[in-house]
Amino acid sequence: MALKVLLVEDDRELRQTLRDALSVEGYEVVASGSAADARAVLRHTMTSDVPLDVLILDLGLPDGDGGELLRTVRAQYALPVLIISARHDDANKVALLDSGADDYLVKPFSISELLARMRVTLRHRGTVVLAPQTHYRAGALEIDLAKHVVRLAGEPVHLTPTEFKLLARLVRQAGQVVTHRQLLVDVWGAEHVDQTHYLRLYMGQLRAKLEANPTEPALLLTEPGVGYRLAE
Amino acid sequence: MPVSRRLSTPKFEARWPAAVIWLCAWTLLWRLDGVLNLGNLALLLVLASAMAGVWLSALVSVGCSALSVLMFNWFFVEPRMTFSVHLHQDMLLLVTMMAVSSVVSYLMARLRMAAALESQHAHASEQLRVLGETLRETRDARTQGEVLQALLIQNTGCEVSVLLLQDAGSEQATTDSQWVGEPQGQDVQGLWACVQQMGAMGPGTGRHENQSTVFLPLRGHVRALGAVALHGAGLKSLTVVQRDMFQQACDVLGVELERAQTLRLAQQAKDDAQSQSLRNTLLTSISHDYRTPLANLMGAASVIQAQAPRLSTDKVAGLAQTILDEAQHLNRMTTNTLQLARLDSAPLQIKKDWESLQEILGSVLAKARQRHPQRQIVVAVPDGLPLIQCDAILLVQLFDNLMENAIKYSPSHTPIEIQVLATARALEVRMIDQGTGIVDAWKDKVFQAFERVHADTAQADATDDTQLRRGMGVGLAVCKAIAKVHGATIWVEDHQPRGAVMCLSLPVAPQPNACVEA
Repeated sequence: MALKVLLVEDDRELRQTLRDALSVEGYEVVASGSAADARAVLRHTMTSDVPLDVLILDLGLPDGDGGELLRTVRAQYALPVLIISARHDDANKVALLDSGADDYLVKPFSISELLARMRVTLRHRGTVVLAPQTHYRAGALEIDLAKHVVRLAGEPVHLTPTEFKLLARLVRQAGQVVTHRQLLVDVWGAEHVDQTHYLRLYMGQLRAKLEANPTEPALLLTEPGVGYRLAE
Repeated sequence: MPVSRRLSTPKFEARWPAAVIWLCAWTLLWRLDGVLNLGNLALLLVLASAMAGVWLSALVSVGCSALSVLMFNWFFVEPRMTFSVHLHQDMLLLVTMMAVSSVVSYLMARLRMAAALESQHAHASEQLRVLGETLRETRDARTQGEVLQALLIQNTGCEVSVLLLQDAGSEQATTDSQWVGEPQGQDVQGLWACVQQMGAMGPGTGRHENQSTVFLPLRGHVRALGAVALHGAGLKSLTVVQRDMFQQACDVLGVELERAQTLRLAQQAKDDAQSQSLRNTLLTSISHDYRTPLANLMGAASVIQAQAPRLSTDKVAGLAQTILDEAQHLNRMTTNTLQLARLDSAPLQIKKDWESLQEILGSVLAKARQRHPQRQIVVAVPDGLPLIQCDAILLVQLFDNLMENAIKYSPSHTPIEIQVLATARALEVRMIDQGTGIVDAWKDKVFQAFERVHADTAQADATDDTQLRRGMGVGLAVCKAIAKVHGATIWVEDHQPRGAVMCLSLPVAPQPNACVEA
């Protein structure tokens, strides 16, 4: 059965383009051009037999801020949300991620980028209610959070407790961007939310231990001004 | 109060020479009595009167002279020990002596008064000169007001409050006014009235004489830029000269405030002109730099639209690639142009955080490798670099622009090299390409918006090679703007044997505290 996508985008051209492209990829697309319409669709479909699988949400909607809609969705449904926005305003982007968006894309973006992000988002579908990811494998790196084991090319890697906590936090949302704020709160505690330099230092140490070339990381990726993302 | 002391009569200490003179004169008179005749003795008295007048006030001097004449009459004029006078012989002598003595005393007093006034003026103008200099050295209007307040308090002992207007012309707007001192309710109204009428008020000024406060306006050339209220007991004894001096002191501040205001207006006009020039720059950008990629976009898209069935799949894919490239190019230019406008209008509103240069360069490299997978990029970042205070997004944009330039302006088979040099106070990033380099004349110009090294060739022959090289007009200008808001410097050096080195030197602040686990 095809995965069901609600696409909320007020620009007709872009909506049509995305709709066609997603249909070609095999998604079942419901398109909506306004926040009110999107709310109606959500009310209708989320209670039906075939609920939505992912919401693609544009921020600048004619009848209201997409951010409002995001909060409604987060409060009522376990539906992954991917934000698409033309705003380069990073504070806003970070705030959206912190308030529950699963990922974001800044316009203009290519369709392949959108599809890649959707795949990640869908894989994490339901992370809120289901058990989070505890196992990670990419290239020579293997992480088992349950057993507290990190192996590089089969060899165990010694990590300090904080390094492990930081890595674990990224593993739970592998492929998705985790904001500085989320990392600081979850690893160091809410009172250290402004100590971004902790992150820089520990991320540097983690890269030195896990990456072949720390300057050009293949796994622990930087999202400048936003946070970090563990590659999938 | 130094000024008014000079006006009063000389003190006793200063009068002793007069007493000595009179004493000598009378001693001589007794000794010479009978030796000289009455007329000569009288001359001695006139001489003494004139000399003593130098040290005595007019009144005392005339009094002394009169007393002397009476005593002279009593002791020396026949018949002695009486005030009766032989009318024909001695009356004229006595009257003349009296008159000469009075005139001399009066003239001396006048002279002294003039000298006192002169020195008072000199003192006042010295004070005004010092005030003027102090005000010029002080930039802040409030501090300037305090300087004037201190001067007036020192000279009068009154309570002094000063009203300063930031922008003359908007007297009603109390928001941009400043107060020095604490005026009472009535004085506040008086101060505003004084500013509006641009004239002094209060006792001795000819207006509102019955008030207990003297108001003096801070006069500029055109309008008053504030006012001063003098409130206290010393007001009644103010002389005209003093009030003039105070008014002049107020005017010194008024002119100074006006000068500062003129400077502000000039700066504002300059800023306006600058933002106008930026607007023009943006318009130039849109009209020229945006048209070329748009033309290519439309060309490629319209070919697909009109001829798709007759084109090979490869050809269509090639056209689609063109569309994608041009769109990315437009996106980059738009981002740069917007960033330039943003940094230009609000350079202080950037969000700095502790960032790792290694991460920033890593992000730039990841993008560059994605866009140019064939290109060889060599990077050497030493371990353990200090963190830097910066806006990561802006620095990524800066290095991204430099990288794009380096790739565009050098042959595709040559490598791009990035070096990072760490010193105690700075991190220097050097991006080296092996292109044609930049001639000395252009080394500064390349950082100005919409200057291009190959501008002439690009216009004359917009094909092939130059086609690739267009449109970074705003890129380096943004780099410079970003460097500036970070207190960093950016410059171009030559690379041997060929090519350019774009250098960025970032200041390193004292590192934050963080205990790192082993």
